Amino acid sequence: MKRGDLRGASIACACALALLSAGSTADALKELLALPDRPAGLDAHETQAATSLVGQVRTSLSAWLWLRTDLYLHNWVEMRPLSDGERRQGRSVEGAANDGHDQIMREANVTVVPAQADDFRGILGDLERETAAYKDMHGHSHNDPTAALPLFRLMTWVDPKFVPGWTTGAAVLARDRNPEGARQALKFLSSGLLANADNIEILSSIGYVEITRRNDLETAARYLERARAAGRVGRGKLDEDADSALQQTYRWLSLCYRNLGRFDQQLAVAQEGLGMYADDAVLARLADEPPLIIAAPKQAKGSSPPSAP
Amino acid sequence: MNRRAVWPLARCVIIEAVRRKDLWVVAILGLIIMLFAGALGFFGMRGLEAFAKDLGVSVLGLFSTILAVLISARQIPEEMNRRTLCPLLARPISRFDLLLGKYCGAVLATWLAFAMLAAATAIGLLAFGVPFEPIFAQYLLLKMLGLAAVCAASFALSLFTTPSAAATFGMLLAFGSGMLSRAFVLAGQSCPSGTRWFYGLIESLVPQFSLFDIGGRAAGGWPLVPVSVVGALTVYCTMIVGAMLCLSWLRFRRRAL
Amino acid sequence: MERAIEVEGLVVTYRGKRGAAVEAVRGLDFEVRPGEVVGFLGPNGAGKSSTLKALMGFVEPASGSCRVAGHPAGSLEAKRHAGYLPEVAQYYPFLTPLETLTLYGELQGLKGDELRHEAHELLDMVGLGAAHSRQNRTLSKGMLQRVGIAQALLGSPDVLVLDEVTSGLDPVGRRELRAVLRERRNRGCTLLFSSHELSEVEMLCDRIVLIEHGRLIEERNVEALKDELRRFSIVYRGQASMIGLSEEWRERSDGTFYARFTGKKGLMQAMERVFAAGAELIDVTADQGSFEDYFVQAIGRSA
Repeated sequence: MKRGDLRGASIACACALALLSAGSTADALKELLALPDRPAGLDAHETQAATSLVGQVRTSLSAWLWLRTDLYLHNWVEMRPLSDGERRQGRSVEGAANDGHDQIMREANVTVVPAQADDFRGILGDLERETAAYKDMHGHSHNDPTAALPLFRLMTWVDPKFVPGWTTGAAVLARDRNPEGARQALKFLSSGLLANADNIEILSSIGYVEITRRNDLETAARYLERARAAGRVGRGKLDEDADSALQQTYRWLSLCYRNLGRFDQQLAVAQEGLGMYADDAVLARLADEPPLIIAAPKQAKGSSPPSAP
Repeated sequence: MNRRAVWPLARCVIIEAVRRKDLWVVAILGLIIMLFAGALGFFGMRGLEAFAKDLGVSVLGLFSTILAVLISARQIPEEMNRRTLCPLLARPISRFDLLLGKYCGAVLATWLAFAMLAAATAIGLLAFGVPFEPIFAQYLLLKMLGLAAVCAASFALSLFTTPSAAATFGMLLAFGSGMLSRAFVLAGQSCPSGTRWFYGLIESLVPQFSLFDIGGRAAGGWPLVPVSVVGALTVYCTMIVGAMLCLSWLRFRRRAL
Repeated sequence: MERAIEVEGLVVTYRGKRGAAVEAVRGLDFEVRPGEVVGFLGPNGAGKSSTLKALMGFVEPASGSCRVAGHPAGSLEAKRHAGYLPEVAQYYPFLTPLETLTLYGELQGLKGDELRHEAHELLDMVGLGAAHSRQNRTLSKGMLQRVGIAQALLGSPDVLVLDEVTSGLDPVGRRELRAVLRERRNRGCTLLFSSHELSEVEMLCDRIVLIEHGRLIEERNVEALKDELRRFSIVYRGQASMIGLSEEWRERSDGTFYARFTGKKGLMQAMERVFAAGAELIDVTADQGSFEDYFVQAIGRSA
């Protein structure tokens, strides 16, 4: 064996040992720090997608369509959230006009291309502001989201595991508050539920549409109970979106039971929710409400919907 | 500089690009664009014109940039591997003439492929009923300038690294320069004002290929870019190409063949 | 132009695998006069191709100088006067021989009908007239070598530098090549070529330059060398003392004598003695001698 071969072999051995030790160190650290496992919601999406190259392509494509949808809503002006540093510096956001957009998609705060006053690049910055889709976005408005509906359909067709596509698409469909919109939204969400059984976000969205658009509290309660049960199973492993949907589920479900006159269930749900979300003011109020205050005849389908939590 | 040498060399690159069926790849990519358009049509058409335009310019930008990098990164390394450089340089041409001819050929071949892709995109858009607006002409013009700059960067990289590495770095630079620029802007904004000159310097040294892409404006129906900006971008493109060709020549002028 | 090619104290170095400089040519001196045909010989790795590349400006000498047609090697003026055939003939695979020649012709400064006419003429001359529209990638190695020869001759250069000129050619191709090169020599073209085919060198060259390990070993006039290598022998019946001039003789089993001479003069004197003694002269032969033997011996001496 040549000297070079020996050196190569020893380097390879050293690398292998380093990798092994790094792996075991990482495991040890994980145990020591008691890091949580990956969120279940994320895993559900990623493990499905990662099983094949086609899956990865689908994931990338749906994520790309998602980004394009956001771009479209801002007429191709790229927005981003504030960084931690910017928040600490107290930088002001370029907020949107109150056009209900926040009910559809989470709003980013500032433009990616900086304003001239914040830009140190001189002529290169000026050129970018002239060539990119850029404008001052303080009090900005949004393009009509209904025009983006085909994109939601496309992204969920491409990747049926892409839950935000189902829930946001349904929110857009139900946006106009007419019965046809609600019917389409529920149909869309049902398709999403077929591909994502017992998904908390979809179940919660169905419950929300049933309550706010069709006032069908019994049906809503059934779906919200399913979401609640799924939340119990996956508790501690939920990603941010699923966790937020679970919190909403507790609120809507408790309200549902209140309006149905099932006060024991209202209190039980609210108290269970408070066990998980101790700072939730809505749940706290629902858990403390004496049944007498809102005593009413038992309501069924057709009764007035509860106010939004 | 022997201008007479540039066209024969450039023509040779174009003939080769056609005969080695590079443009077949372009045709296939064009077909993919059409299929994408068809997919959009399947999911509903009303109000989708903006997305069709966005998709058109995105796919056009993506494929043409990939082709620009691949065509230009292989020119000189392939000549070295095939040993075709010696008979060329035995002719009364300088090494700079050779580089210039090869670069011009790579740019013309890229523009030819770009024109084919643009035609496919235009047909796809017309099928959607999207009219050809003046800003699209401006988009095509600026994109061609950008592709010339991308070609120059990949061409220069190919003289410093292996062809595969040049193609990889070229793509990273072509697609990542905008992201890199934004990262530096963020870093510059969050650091003390006294050190911002450093980020400004890096910004000015890294070619900003994203400046030549007005696809967002074209898709969103924004107004035309002012003529003065087009002029400034032409100057900027010339500076990038000049710098890259200078780098290439410095590397190539004394290289043993 | 007194010298078509001048090489003075040429040193060519390459960077080795570990970054160390490796000397391929070590202080080489030789020159070629206009109209001369010179064979550039040496074993593998002797530095022939490096020298030819330095002559064309493809590598920069570490020291020393090269001039072609009175101009510094690698300069546009020098290249305007020179035609070059590389050691390994590779041409654009997707071009046809005609397009290849058109490309090189345009780079040479030829254009229009003049170029088209010369390209067709050269392709016919090297036997590629029928294959002028086939892409180079479909041609055999020998055919590619012919394309290379044609491109080297394009523009009627004053100086031809040919590296391994017969590589890949069959015997018919070699004969045709010899005819082409003789025709160029008759036109006054200077030829410097490297080859391992010593018979080609012998048939074509006026002079040979022999190098090894990047250094000059010998420069010889080919005719003088041929004379030197030529051997004569006679067979006669008579006395051994009749000869006396031969460095090599022996008595054969049938009682006759065999004598060998290195020069014509010795042979003539010996024949005179045989005839004067009234002895019987049975046979006289002339042996041309082998360039290969000379090459091997010369390389052996230098080692």
